[in-house]
Amino acid sequence: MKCLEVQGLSKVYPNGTEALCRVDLVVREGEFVAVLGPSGCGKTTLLLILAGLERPTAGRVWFRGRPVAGWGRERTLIFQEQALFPWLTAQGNVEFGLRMLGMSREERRGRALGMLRKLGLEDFAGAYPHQLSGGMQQRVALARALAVEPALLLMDEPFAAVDALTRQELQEELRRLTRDSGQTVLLVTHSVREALFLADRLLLLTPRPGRVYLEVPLPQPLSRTEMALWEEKVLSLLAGFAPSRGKDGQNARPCRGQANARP
Amino acid sequence: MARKYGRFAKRLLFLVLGLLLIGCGPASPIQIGVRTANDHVPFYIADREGMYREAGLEVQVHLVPSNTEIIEALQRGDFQMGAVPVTTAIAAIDRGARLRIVAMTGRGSDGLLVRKEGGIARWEDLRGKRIATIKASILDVLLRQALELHGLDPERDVTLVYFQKLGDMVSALKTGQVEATSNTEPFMTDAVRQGWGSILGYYTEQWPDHPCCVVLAREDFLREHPREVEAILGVHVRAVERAWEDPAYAARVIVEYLQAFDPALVEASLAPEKMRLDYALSAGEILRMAQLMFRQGLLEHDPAGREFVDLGPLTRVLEGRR
Amino acid sequence: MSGEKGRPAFRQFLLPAGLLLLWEAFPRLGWVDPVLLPPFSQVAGRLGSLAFSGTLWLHLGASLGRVFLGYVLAVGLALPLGFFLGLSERAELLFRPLVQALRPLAPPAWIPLAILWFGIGNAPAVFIIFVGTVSTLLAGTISAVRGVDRRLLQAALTLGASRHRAVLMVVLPAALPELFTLLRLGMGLAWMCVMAAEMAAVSRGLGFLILEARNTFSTDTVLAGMVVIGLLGWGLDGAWRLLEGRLLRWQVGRRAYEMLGSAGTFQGLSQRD
Repeated sequence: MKCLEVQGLSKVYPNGTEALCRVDLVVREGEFVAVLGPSGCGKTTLLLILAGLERPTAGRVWFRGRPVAGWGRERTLIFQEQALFPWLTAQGNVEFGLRMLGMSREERRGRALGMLRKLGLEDFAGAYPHQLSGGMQQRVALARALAVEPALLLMDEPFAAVDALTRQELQEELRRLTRDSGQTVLLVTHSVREALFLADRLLLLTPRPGRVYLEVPLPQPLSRTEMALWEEKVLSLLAGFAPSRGKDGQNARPCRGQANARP
Repeated sequence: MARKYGRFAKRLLFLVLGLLLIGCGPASPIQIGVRTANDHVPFYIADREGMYREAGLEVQVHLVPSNTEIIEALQRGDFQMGAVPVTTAIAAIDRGARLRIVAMTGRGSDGLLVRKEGGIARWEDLRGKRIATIKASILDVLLRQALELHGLDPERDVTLVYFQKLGDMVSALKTGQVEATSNTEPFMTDAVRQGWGSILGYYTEQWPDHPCCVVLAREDFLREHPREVEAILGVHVRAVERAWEDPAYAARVIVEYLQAFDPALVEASLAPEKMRLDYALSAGEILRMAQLMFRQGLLEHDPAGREFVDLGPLTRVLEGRR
Repeated sequence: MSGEKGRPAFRQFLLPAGLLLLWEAFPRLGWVDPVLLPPFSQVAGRLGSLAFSGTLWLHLGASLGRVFLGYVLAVGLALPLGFFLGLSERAELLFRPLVQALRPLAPPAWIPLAILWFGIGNAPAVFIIFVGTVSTLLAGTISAVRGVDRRLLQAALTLGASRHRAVLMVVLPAALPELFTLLRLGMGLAWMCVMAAEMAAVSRGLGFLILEARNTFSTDTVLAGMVVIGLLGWGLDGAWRLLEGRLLRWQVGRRAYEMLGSAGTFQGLSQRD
């Protein structure tokens, strides 16, 4: 069952920057897809379009069979940092989406606390975001997003701003939560290891303009040795695509009528 | 060694003495600040005809639109003499300014202006109406006196509205924001000539020939340069007499210096029933004005003990002519 | 007597006390002409007699009333319009030339027009205060709204908020700290307009009191009036800060955190274990 289907997605900004070029991808229900690529390959733009916050220049996006026409809680977005509402406590933040749903106060509170408990934050429900460490803030962000039970969880390098140790903990928690609930996730990252740890399928993106040039299904769960091998393979694949750079670091190949390359 | 220092000390002594002598000489040039108003035309005439130079003086006449600025400049020493309304002079001296009134420049010219169609024919009609005035000015002092004489309490029976500028008051009257304004020439004759204004009366009705504007001098200037003050007053007397002889000429000079109004209007506003240029003044009339101001609460101290006037220079000038 | 707490409190009054001493000494010793600068005790005496006779409160009340009215009107226009323009780039481009053209016009420049349009009394004064404050408030609101992190808005939208709710429940609280500072400064601006506003045909007010005092050469009254204006401005500012501290407790803590660094935060699970 297709949760998300994207065809020929292109995005050119008014100043001429080509962010995405004819991206095709599919995300099935319950799948965990990781989008990998170096910085500046239009990954954030892709997520914004999928969330309905930006409009593509060309191409189409279907969500559960219907064309995407704007934003909504079924496609929730988690950012790298600083997206918690600083005037609300952790609990207040998690309750936000539930307020939008029109839930009663008791139900809201119950759900929010439950969500916080799942992430081990029940002691910090009354804390404000600035009182929490980076890792805990991302936990709250996760709780806030999962509380509204989105059909598709979009994540933009969510753990890039935390230290390595916390990052590992967060990755483990994310995997646990999403496996348990069967949550469909599209995660964007530039950490190969993170992608290998979390995802069922990898999509490799070229640098600007972004194009899906490789799709790699992963036979999860991977053992440690398997992960190391896969890491090498993926890194070489990423390096193997050496784009001929034109002016401004733009990919020399223009985005017109070019089919996606496949190995 | 001692000889070298001796020569240096002598040179220094000469230098200091020289500077002192220069300091004791006439302050040159003498700065006089006068307002941009009809009453001060004697100064414009004197300036225009070079009468100061003829009298052997170096004088610079400054035209200043604000009375307060003239007093402030006098206090700072930027001006040595000035010409302002008598009420301004009295108030400044009352507050401690070391100035003295030495001569008159003009009398009269203030009164009450109303709209022709305003329905106000007598002073009594002003009851309950709004009158535009400038707080603590001669317009205000004489207005209050006039109101009281006609049985009206300035605080209770009318509404006084305070402005900062004469022109604004005329506009306010014209547009109906007030029913009357205590104002001065040539604005009043101007309103009448334009067809919408009517003069209810001049304050000379209640106080004939009341002082309007006076000449001031700093006390230290009077003390240190009495001959210069006399010379300037001598010029002033001659200029006033010149204006008396030829009012049309005086009107032209006003227009030239103020660059406003037309000569016919100015000449009409210089008519003797409206105002009178003059140089002579008496200590008594100044005291009378001061007492009126004190009664109205505009002065800090009882004027009885104060010296506002120094008629020495003027008296000597007038005697010397006989 | 001076414990740890006592010393700093005492110290902050040293400079003003010293200045007051100079203000008293110089005119009395004749180093400054007392007609140009009356000694502090004389000014204080004048202030006392104004307060005692009730004159001061009369003028003070008139000015305060005008300032509040003009300020409230300016806020009432600038805040909603600023939000609208801050969120809509197209609208802002339309309005920008008008706003930028009106900004440099100092309040006194508006006096003739104010009298012409509003006649005499409180209205022109209120108008001048309004005009002196509104363009700064507008520009500041637009900036505050624009300054809100985009991601907050995007997060709200993808959590199911409608555009309307997102503006009210996210953009507004997010912009509130900067808005508060703006509103506080705006009140200071409005208060500074008092002198200019009261040059327009009014019969009462602190500005009028000072102007009249100048025209009657009561320099001590001028200074007394200025002292009152200064003290009142300071008081208003302090009141705003108190209000800000109360309403924006979360912001106060956050600012402290940003200054101290992560030293002031919890460390999370790793510490718990």
